[in-house]
Amino acid sequence: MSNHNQEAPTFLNQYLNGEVLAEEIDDFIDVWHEDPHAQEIYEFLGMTEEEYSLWLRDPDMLPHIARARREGLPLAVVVRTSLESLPIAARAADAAKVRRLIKWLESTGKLD
Amino acid sequence: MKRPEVNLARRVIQKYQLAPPIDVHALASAYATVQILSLPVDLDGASINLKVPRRHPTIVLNHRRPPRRQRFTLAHELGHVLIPWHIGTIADDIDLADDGQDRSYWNLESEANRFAAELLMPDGWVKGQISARSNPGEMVEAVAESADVSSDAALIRVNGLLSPGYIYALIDSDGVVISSGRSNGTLPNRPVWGRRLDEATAFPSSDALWRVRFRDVSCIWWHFPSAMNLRTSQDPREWRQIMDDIFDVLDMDPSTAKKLEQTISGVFGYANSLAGKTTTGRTSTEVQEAVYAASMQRFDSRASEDPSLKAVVTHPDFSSYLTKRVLDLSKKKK
Repeated sequence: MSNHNQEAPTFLNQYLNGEVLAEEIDDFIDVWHEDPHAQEIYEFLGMTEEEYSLWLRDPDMLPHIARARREGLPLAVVVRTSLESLPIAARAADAAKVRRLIKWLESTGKLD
Repeated sequence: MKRPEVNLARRVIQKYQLAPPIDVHALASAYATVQILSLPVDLDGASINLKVPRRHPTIVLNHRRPPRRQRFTLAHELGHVLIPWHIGTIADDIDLADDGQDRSYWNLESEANRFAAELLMPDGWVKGQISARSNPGEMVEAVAESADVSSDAALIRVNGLLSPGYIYALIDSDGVVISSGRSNGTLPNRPVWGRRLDEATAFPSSDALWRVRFRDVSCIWWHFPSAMNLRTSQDPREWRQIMDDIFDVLDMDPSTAKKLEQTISGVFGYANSLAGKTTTGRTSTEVQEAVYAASMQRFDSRASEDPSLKAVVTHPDFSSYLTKRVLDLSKKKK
């Protein structure tokens, strides 16, 4: 791996900056495979070992890894809270409407 | 560096090689289940199960909303789906202006709005629409029609990307301002909402005015020059004397005159700080003309709120006063 590539923005940084989409992580992995001995893959992606191992086990955790980074929170805390109780964001006046809407969507089989 | 959500919209445009009017339904369907339904609640839409492991996100839209509003809402919801830290469920009653009540909720909403605006009306494309026309009302109409967005969304987008020196006001049939705005860097204040406006006399320092229909109301646009020619004055008096004479002619009592003098110096100083500080690459005449224009525009705004100041600013000798003051300042700078 050249110095140029080592200085290039990592996937995670670019993901946080909106410069790449989540699915584009595969393109980065392809690039890493061209020269796998230069750097650990998690370093190449801009992740810690813990973040990479979480992503490897569950790719759906990528946004939560990004959120933990962005908000400067421990990964374990973000993962636990994200999975236990996903937030509902709405205007105060709309919170009850959202709960009604979700119940209605569930009862009519319109939620995936 | 651009905001992440704006970068993200650009990345999507680049990846899928999109151009206005984009097929937002097809795009959103690649990332979420999109349902356009008769909702049992009064909302524009909602994004449900965002970033929930092993769940596909669902976007629901209220089919009772006008089609162009639905398009913006769908682009907004796609923003919630793609922006990594937007998680859970987010309900939307799309308001293009942030009311600032719940900061964390409004941050999410503002990010999704900026994503939607950039996706449907990309920055560079809108600037192309702007530069092809001189009438801002026509710019808004062209953006709304070509991007298939509402007039309100196009107005906010065009106003946000116009060069400094534009103000608009939406006026109802009674002549009352129902909304107004100004492009970034514009010096006069925008018209106050809820007040009656006399469009002909509202901004004497503007150099162009357009009136266009906007939905079912009038939209007035004004343009303000970045420089105004200084009028050659044959008046032998120096600027302080001219002001004293104006106060005398207007029969101002000394305390009002003193207060006005302070206000006038304050407005002039502020205008100079905005228009006269950067002298690099500009001739002294260009700087003088910029300071003069900025001063007149600020005086217009202040005078509309202060009848005593208005009497001074509209006096025939005021332009001689201001010209001499600008020239005097310029001499001191040298």
